[in-house]
Amino acid sequence: MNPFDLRGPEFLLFYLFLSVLVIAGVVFLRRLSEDRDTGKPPIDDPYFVAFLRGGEGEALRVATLSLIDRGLLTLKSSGTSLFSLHAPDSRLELTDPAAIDSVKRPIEKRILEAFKTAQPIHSTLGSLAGCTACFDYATNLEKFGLLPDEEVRKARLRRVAIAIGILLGVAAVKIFIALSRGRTNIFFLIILSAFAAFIAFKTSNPFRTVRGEKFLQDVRSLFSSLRLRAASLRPGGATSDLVWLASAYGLTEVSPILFPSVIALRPRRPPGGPGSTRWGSGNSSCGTSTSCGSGSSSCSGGSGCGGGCGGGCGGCGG
Amino acid sequence: MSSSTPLPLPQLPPPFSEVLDSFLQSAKDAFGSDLLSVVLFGSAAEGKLRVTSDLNLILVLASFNQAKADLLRQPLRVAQAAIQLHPMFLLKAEIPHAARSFAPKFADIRRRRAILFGDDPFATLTIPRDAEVRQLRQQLLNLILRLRAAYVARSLREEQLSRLIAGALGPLRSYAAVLLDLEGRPAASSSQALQSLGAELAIPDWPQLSARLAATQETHVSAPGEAPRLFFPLLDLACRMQSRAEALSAEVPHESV
Repeated sequence: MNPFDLRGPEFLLFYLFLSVLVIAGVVFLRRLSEDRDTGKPPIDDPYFVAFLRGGEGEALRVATLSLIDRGLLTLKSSGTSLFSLHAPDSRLELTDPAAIDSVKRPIEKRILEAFKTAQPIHSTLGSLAGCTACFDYATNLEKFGLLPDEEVRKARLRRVAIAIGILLGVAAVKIFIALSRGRTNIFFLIILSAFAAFIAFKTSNPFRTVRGEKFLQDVRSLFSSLRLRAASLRPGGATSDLVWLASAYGLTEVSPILFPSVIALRPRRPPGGPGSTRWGSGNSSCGTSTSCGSGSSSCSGGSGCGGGCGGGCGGCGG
Repeated sequence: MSSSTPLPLPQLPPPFSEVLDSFLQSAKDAFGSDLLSVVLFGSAAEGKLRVTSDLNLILVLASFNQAKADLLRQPLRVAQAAIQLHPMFLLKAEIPHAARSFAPKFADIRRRRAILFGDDPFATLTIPRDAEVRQLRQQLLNLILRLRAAYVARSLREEQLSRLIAGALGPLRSYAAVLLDLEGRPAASSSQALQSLGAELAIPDWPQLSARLAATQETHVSAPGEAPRLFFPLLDLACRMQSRAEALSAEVPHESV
């Protein structure tokens, strides 16, 4: 039976089935190829985990939260209420210049340098995107196979090109046949093929690799009891509880009552959507471009995939 | 004094086992030959960890060297965040002094310990009875005074009272075990010690009360209006244990008290 001879609704059903098959194939091949063992990543740097979870913007925010908690940065807000902390003119300033030399991690040093004088939080952190410390994290994450490196990105691109080629190619042939037979009711097929291509693209190119997803799940499992203690953490930086909680689960898990400064650090999404640096958003608290149903994001931001594709079924071609 | 045989290694649930193994390896790497023994004690040694439990370790060292200790800083902070690991860095030469200075604590350690690495440093440890009795009395009285003050200061907020109860149960169990031990009737575990004492001291409705206390310790919450009904019998129990400890002290020679 030639599927191109199917009537409109039947062909749309066939196309839906084909789309699911192609997308599942893309996901399967990605899972197969991105789960190679490239050494055990260390669990000794919370910013490494924060970067993996939400990109460089998130690593910068978590590091800043830690520095505020330790008293190395002072928050200067225009008001006194918790809500005023989220105001665009909230600023941060270095408490003591000597702190720049006393902190150990390069990302912390870089943040302290950026706030030598009182500076607005979000724009200043945004300006640190692509800094050397962030670059080092990205390189390490790629080295451990947790974020896609050049080779993985190329493989993903090849797979998605083939998948989209199949999806759009089949749709194009059917549209050509329909038009050649004098049928013009091709609207639903165009919509469905565009939607299928979009889903194929999103599922084939998530922020993390399969190995990265697994590692993040492991880290979260490791700190699961910390999440249960989130409401009883103590400010001051005597322990790493706060920074590990924020790194593994996101700033949304940090109590704004215990740590009011977290409100000032929560990302504000600009009108143009999330930032588009190579290693994730500078504005999302839960990573960018996560795959549909990855289940690893602590909040539901990101792409709007996973929606249904129901709706009525008009005829097409036939 | 109860048996000095360490407990068998407990099966710890994940992620406790994973984090503990990793920390242990880091400690070996950091301290090298200076690390003589690693002892797990408390509820973890008994295999009775709760989700909210912390995990107590003693690292017995030949010496405490800065360069070596520095290597353990990062692994310790990870372990603290992940499983509330609380290590004690104890030099071998300090063990007798520590046992005298913190007698009830070391009596508890001696009772509930598992050796994770090296020889058992407490196999031949003798805890002076006079010190143990005196400090048990002191700690019980301290607990009673703190509970009273905390009740008045915090119990208007009932959830705070539940947390207070949850926090007091652990030490009280431990004191119960020490008390029975000093009376020459060691219990199999600190939980059983408290169970026995609660019954012996005729705390009203003890079996039900004990179950509710355990549930409160597990979750740190209790049903509305329940916390005050749990708190005062608990305080009463502590007071009666204190009276028993006072009676014990009479058996200690006068000059050593």
